[in-house]
Amino acid sequence: MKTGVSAAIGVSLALAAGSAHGQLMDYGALEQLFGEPVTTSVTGSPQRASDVPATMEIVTADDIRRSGATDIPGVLRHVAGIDVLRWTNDQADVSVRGYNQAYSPRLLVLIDGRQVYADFYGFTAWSTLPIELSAIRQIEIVKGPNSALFGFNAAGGVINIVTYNPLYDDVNTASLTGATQNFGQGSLVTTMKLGEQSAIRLMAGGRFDDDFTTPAGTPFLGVRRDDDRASVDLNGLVRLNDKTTLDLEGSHVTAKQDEITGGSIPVFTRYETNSVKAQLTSDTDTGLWQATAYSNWITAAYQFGNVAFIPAPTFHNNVTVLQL
Amino acid sequence: MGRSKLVILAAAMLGAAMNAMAAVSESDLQIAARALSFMTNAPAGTVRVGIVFNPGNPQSAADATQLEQLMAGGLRVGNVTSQPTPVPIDQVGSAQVGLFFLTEGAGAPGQLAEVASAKKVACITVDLAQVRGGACAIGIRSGPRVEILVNRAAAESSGVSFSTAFRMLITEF
Repeated sequence: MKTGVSAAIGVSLALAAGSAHGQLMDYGALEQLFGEPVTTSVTGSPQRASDVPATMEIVTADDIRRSGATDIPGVLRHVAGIDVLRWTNDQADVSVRGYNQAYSPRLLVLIDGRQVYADFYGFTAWSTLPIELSAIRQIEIVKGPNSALFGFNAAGGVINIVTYNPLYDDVNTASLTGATQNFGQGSLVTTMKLGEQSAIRLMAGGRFDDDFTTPAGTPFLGVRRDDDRASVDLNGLVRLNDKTTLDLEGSHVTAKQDEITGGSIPVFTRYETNSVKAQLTSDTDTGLWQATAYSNWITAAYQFGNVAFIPAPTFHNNVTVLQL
Repeated sequence: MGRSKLVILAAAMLGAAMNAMAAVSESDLQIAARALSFMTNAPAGTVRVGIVFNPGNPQSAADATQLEQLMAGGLRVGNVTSQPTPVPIDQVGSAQVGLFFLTEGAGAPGQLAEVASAKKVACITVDLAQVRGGACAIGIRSGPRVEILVNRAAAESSGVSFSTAFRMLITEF
């Protein structure tokens, strides 16, 4: 049953928009030069971590690897000032400096500048993010309001996930993880140079687990199901000339998980998200120009167990953003 | 102690003193090479680095000796391998190099700036006063915090330009 359909188109004309210069920057080379990470998440312009005029933390790839975490909320729980409520194996809510709740809104989550939170409620379903931990160069966390720069949903803070750029970085990782509660996770990230001027990156991952190992009673059969997730993301970059780069990306994720919705209602949710993105960046005599267009589609189908009087709503949400 | 031993000891002490006097370190060279990789026409491969020094200035001579030792055999950073060539300040006009590394206290800055401009060769130094004075286009400091200073006029005249994102991370004037 389709009970909710929503769509939104955002047009942004922010010359200094967040992470506007991200994909043209060689984060690794700059970090080696300055001895510290660089970021665009605070003012929109590239800055060294020690120069940013905001309370900010950068979680590096080394931090992620050492954390032992299997998902992004597991990484963020180690950051001071970040509150993580893990409701089930696969669902967690993240907020900055308190005020956390089920389906916590007010936190802008971006992957390389593309918003990835669920626009229909403002929360982030972390399992639906088309990203593998080993593809993350750094997670930039701005604590506190940043709506003046980023707009909607940045009232609590901003988390910008910066991935490895296949034009500059060679990343080839494969991992398998197993644990109790029938947990299994596989992840693959590979980059490939296609000549001198183009490169691609493929990310794919899968996960399954059970929240409970004890038998479920009849009223809960509907909500106590096994969780799983599958994700694939393909990113290609082409240097059109010495100063212009075209970035194309597409992703698809399915996730099924037990979770707690707003209002603290236990549900079993089936998510499907898709995205396409095109970004043209040019370093001209008049400055750095970037044009970005992306669309996110999310479908969330909720099942409230075997309780007949509660309907099983499905939300379809489409967000398109054009940014210059 | 014999006379020859005294001479050896004195030479060793003089060498140690010269090294202690040197203002340039290996990390300076690493920073310099990495900074140059952000030039829009970045050098690549083997680059002859002209170490500009003043033989009459102990500080400058010590820096030149130190730089030559650090680059001996070809210092490789990223895509660039540096081959040192000592260049006394009064011979910069005839130097055939791809990059000038100006030592501290070398003096005669106007002459170097003219040559760098005429030959379109980048100049880099750890002596930031030389950059502020226009003698050299790029200044670097590796500690306590990495700082990169670019004299825009000197850079333009010597054909040095950087990517826009990089320019936002350094100090230009």
